Amino acid sequence: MLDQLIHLKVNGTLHTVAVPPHRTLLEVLREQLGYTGTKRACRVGDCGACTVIIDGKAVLSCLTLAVEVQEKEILTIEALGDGDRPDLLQQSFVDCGAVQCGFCTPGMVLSAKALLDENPQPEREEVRRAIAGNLCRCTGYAKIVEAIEDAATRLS
Amino acid sequence: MSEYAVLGKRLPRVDGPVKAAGTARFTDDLSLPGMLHGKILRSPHAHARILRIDTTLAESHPGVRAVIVGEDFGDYRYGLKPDTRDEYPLARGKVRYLGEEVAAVAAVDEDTALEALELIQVDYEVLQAVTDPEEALREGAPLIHDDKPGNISVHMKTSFGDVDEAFRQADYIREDRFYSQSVLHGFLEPNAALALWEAPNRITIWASKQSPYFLYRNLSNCFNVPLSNVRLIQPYIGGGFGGKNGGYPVDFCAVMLSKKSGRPVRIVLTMEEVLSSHRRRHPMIVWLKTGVKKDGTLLAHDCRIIADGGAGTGVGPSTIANAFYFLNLPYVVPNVRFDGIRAYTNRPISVAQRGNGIQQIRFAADVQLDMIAEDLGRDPVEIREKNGAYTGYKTTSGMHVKSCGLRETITEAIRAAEWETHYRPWREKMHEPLGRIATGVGIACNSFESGARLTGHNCCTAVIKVHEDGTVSLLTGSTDSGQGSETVLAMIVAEVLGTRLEDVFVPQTDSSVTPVDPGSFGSRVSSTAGNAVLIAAKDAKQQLLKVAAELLKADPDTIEFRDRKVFVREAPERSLRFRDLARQTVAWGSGTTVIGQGSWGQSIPPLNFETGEGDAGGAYSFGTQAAWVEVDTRTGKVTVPRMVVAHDLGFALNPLAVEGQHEGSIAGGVGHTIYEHCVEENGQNLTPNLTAYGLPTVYDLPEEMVSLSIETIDPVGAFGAKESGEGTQVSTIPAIVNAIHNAIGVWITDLPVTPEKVLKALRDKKAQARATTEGQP
Amino acid sequence: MRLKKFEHFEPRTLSEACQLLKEHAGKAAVIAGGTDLVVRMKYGVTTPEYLINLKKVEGLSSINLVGENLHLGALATLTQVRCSDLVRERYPVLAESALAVSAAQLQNMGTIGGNICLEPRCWYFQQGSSWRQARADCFKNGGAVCYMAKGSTRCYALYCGDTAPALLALGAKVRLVSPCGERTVPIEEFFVDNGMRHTDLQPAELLAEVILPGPGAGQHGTYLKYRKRGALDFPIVGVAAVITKESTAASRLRIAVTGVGSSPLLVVPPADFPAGSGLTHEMINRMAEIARKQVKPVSHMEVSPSYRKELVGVLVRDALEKLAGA
Repeated sequence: MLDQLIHLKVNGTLHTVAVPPHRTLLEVLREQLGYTGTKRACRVGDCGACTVIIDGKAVLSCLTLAVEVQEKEILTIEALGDGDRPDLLQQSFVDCGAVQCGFCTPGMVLSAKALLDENPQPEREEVRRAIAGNLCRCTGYAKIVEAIEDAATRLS
Repeated sequence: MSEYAVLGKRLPRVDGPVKAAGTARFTDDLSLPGMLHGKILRSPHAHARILRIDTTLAESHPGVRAVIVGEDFGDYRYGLKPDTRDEYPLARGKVRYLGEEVAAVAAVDEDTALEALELIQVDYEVLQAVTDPEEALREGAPLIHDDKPGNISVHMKTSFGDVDEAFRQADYIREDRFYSQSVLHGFLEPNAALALWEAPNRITIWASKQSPYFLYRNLSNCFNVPLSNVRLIQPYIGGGFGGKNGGYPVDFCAVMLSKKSGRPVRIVLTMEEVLSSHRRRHPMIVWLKTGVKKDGTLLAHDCRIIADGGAGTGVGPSTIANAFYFLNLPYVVPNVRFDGIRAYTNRPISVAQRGNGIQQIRFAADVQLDMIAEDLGRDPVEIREKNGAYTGYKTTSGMHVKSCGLRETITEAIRAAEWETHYRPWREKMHEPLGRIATGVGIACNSFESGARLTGHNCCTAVIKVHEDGTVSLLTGSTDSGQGSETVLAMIVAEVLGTRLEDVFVPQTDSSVTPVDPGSFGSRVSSTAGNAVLIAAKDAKQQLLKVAAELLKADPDTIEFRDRKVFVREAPERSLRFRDLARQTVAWGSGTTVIGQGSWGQSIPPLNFETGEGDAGGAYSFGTQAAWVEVDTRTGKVTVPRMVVAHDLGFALNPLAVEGQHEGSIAGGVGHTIYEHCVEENGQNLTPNLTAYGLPTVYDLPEEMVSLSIETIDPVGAFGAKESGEGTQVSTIPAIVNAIHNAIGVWITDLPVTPEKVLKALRDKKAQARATTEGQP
Repeated sequence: MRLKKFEHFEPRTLSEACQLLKEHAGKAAVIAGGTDLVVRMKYGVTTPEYLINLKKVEGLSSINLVGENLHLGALATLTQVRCSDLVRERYPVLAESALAVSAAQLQNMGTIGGNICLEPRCWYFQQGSSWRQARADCFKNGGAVCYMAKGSTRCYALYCGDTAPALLALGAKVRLVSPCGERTVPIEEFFVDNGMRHTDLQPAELLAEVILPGPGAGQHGTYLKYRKRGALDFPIVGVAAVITKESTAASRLRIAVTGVGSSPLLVVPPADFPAGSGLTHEMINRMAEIARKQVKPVSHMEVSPSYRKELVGVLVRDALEKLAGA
């Protein structure tokens, strides 16, 4: 199949990129656009490590075709702060010890961001529900939940 | 411990910001110009002879740059010890488990590499497979390695004290069989390697390794390249838990494909490959016979185990030895007999996993202790307090307990669990009808080696460079696979040199630059590398002191380093900034560069794999866990809403990191107890994805986890610290299983605790009770 | 785990989509949210040469009230469904079932149409191609064996959709569109249980929308799901129960179960079931027993048939107790 020229708006920047239809958004973000903060773990929708935000909703980039998300607002972890200047949510993750190996972290942060953007003062249950699709082996999740609640408090 | 400026504080980890920002680079995030993508062809049979491999079609496929098979590696084999080298980079002659690596391809992109795999033709002669360890040990079972008769990979038979006499003296003896299933490490970052071969003989490899220097030696041997030419650079590691210790086929293949193609090659496994054919924890059958006095005093253990080793030995000898060692602790058991066999089977290779061999044995021993307590009408807390090891205790087998806060951990754990309020022995509850949700509490204790002693190279070395602006680099070969050791080691440097944590930079391991190190396993890093770092920091400080003494015109003994200042203790106004001292040191006189160095290893004899005599590590941690469970008596579903960890870790170098270790241990332990299981059929894993396998989500782990640190200031570890990341997972299983018994009166001795098993156990108990009643006149 | 090549179409209308489907009959697949299909394509168990993407079809994701009936476009996401005020107020059981699907990301992506048409699942079927090379193909993959029910002459993959039981219990209808026209059928007629296909979708036919009859006053429903983990997992058993007041003296009870066969099962109370005057303890027990007897699960994915039946009983009882208390 021939490559198609598609336009992807990632973190506010419009990229024009040639891709065949069978490329997932995850592959295009990582392999062609260099957004390696989006992690490639299970690749079949089981773990949430590749979570990105599209039009305000957390979705899995491993199950999304790149060609079908043109004209949409795609946010990856790179849209938030960088290592020197983390945004408030990322800072809460760091301060609360919600980061260990860090492989689930970008997806986890984005699931949390999608929640807080929509619901700045979530209940505990809403926090848990928002990250229930993001697996973490290191932390046991308690500090992740704490970090998101901490960010919600600091945001208010 | 307020005398410390940095240590003992809840400091966020130094690599937190880059990880949260997504800019921390893992192996899969790296690429090089001209890089090829590698893929591995795996065996569809659990046991088969390879008759022929035809790679012609794959080689001529457009975009393919190299294809390799077992022959490319000659006769190279690898393994922990000279007599256990039974693993191949790619299968030679036969395949021994389903998913074993048979060939590999490098191509211009992943799609092409995958297409090429389909073009490789392999003819197999299928052999009878044996996937059950007990079957494998039976006479006449198919032989997995021709030179390993009886399919015995490891056999350790040993005895201390007089076990037979102890049983004769025992008032009560109990014998039970326990089974711990096949579970996976569960890291989210699949194994990956990026290799660059530069002719004539240089290897550079970026690979996700807990122990980079194992692979460094492996590659030197495999490719006949001097060690100085093996450069292993360690990117961030997305979790290891024992599944990223040494070299694996993915690493060897990446290098060989690069050598053959002349291009850099990256191989990243899929999660399906990791779950179906990579390493896992040893499934283990444990028969445990225990003799006690009427009052619950432990007299003897007689234990037999069969561990399912899979098709290779890996670090299996240490797993079996650990199982033996931790029959001797955390309780005083004066007489211990052990017969441990690790059997080869046609299954993926079993290796270490957080707690290496100890989970399985402590599950058996600590559940059986509760059984005994119940049989004798004793209290589970009291029986643990009575039998607990203590500071100064030496096991009959020769393990020296130099610090022990076991009793304090019991006290703290039951206090936090509100034990007195919630615990009622089952015998008091058994006549009450079970509600829909039955609740119970349980405890279990643990001990673990703090800094495993190896055979061969054992010590850690640290090098500290003080830069002229007052910042510091710490070079260490100890890796941080997520546990936070990088932060803790940097804190030690900052403490000694009186700088701040942010002034210390820890470059990731690079075998050309950082000192050789055993790596991250056996709970070594904080305790063992920590001591090396402490010595190195003191060495650097000593060098700086000389200059400071001249500048401040004071005796070196009177000078203090704290918060970026160097000053005379009794006259703090006589001070200079640390950065000025650093600059002046470079310029002073003829000038000098401050490089501190330190090496430290446990000063105990190497592990004795034959008899198990002596120590397993430099020190021992102790701990207690309490679990609160809810059992749905209609579905059998068990949940653990609350769990307490009280751990004697010597000294909490960083309490925030410690909590993370405790909570992570609970996560792995709850998964192992209730959720996780590789369901297999003829050597094929039917659950090779995280959903079918059942890695716990946020809803499946205790919402409330209490982490308590008991500080005993160990004489061996750096600043008195002992391990806190593995022992804490050892007692999770028995604490939960004991709590289930407390809730519903049944003993689950076969893991995982699936709802169906719980329901069946409840039914069986009811039927038994009915039969007993009916049998009465 | 990479997708094989295909040609991608983004039709703007349903008829265009049907036309494409007809043109590429046998070689095309329809994609909506993609959460089920893309995984199967990555595994290589579904290998379409043409992918017909419905996301650009106008109006296919709307949720509208038409008279008393609620029309849910097939492309409405599960998040849309569970957050829709119309759904939450009128059919809370459907919102509950959408919320029970997997986790947030999958609810944001997955659609109601896709969830209804969810491919039945089995450990021997949803596996990567190299995994499947280790054994002969099963029925689902073009072979002649079912590893789940050995010796059987059909596939016993399990239907695991969460929203279907809610829709069955609510008496929903589905509107199906094809190049030859369209038809609207009760959802229970849409599902078939013959092992190979689980829906009555004809070649070139598409599920366009779901139509829910007005709830009237006094309808109560609930969806209960039993799964291994608290999120992400498909149901081991899911039970939806809806009780609808038809007059002051008579109510109608509908119960539907997922996870027990190759399609969701509607458990209809027997004719003599006195659902007129509220649910008594005896009625609840009897209904649980009826449901338990009606399901005929096979041993599946680490769950024995008897345990699955047991769960059906427990969930039906819990659901009805909840309704009785409501």
